[in-house]
Amino acid sequence: MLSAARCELSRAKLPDCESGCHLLPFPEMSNPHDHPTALKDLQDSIYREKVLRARAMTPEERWQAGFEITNEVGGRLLGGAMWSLQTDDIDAGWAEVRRRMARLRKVHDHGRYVTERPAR
Amino acid sequence: MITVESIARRVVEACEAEDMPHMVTGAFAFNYYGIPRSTKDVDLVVDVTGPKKIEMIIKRLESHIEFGAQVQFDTLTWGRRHIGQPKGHTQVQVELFELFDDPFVQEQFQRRRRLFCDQLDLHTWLPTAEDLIVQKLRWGRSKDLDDARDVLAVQGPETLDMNYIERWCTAHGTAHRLKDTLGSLPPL
Repeated sequence: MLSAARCELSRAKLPDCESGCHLLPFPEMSNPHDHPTALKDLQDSIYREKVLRARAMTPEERWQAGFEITNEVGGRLLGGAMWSLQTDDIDAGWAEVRRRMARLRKVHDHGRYVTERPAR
Repeated sequence: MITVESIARRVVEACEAEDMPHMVTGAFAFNYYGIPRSTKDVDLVVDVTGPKKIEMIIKRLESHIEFGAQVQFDTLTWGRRHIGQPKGHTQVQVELFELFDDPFVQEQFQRRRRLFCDQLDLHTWLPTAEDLIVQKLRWGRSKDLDDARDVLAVQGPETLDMNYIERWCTAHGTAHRLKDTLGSLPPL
């Protein structure tokens, strides 16, 4: 339950808190994390926008976007690796990216892949 | 930096050159039907049930992609996976999955669609949206469930053959995942 003082930060006045009002999903100064319904509404709103944007694209445009995002991520991974190594050596940067990706894959694949199939 | 599309092009070209029936899966297929996202793999299913051998593809790609000698098995269906590391600057790896005698995998492969991809400048094959959803729900990792939800949301259940999806989900024991995923979709 929200405090009356906190709720006064909201411009909305609806019956559902100590002071007899309730935070609308995104009023100014309110924090949707304070209210489960508001948080769900915010999540749904963000997701709806993503879906509608994808629907407005052709399949080919979505393909193109996927390629661009992946290549962009590669560049950012390299930048992060080179920064953390404090190096200008691109080869060293990519080696670090690959090392990190290998670790990530190991975690993701854990329990999902094995190198020997049990006898049936 | 080697682009992901150039890696995908090489692998698809190798399959075409070897006349190896294939199907691109993973994020490549997902992005066609869902909400574009990045990927760390180029995934293909290749039909090695005929006279063609996967070694022919691996051999053809060896100057650009180095495949490990060790084959891996997934613990869900015991399908075989071959992992290749492109030679050069990229975070992406190649995964070749051998087509095998799993009834769903077989039907998914039979139903695949041939499409022209401008970015690859060649034709390739993709699973249908329905088969991609069934596959994602079957694997059931959180990422897979998100992908299944996104394809359902973007395509819309009303445009999909939901009877087909429900039939396979029932067969796989994943009908509850389908129900939960559909229930999680906000009004659109």
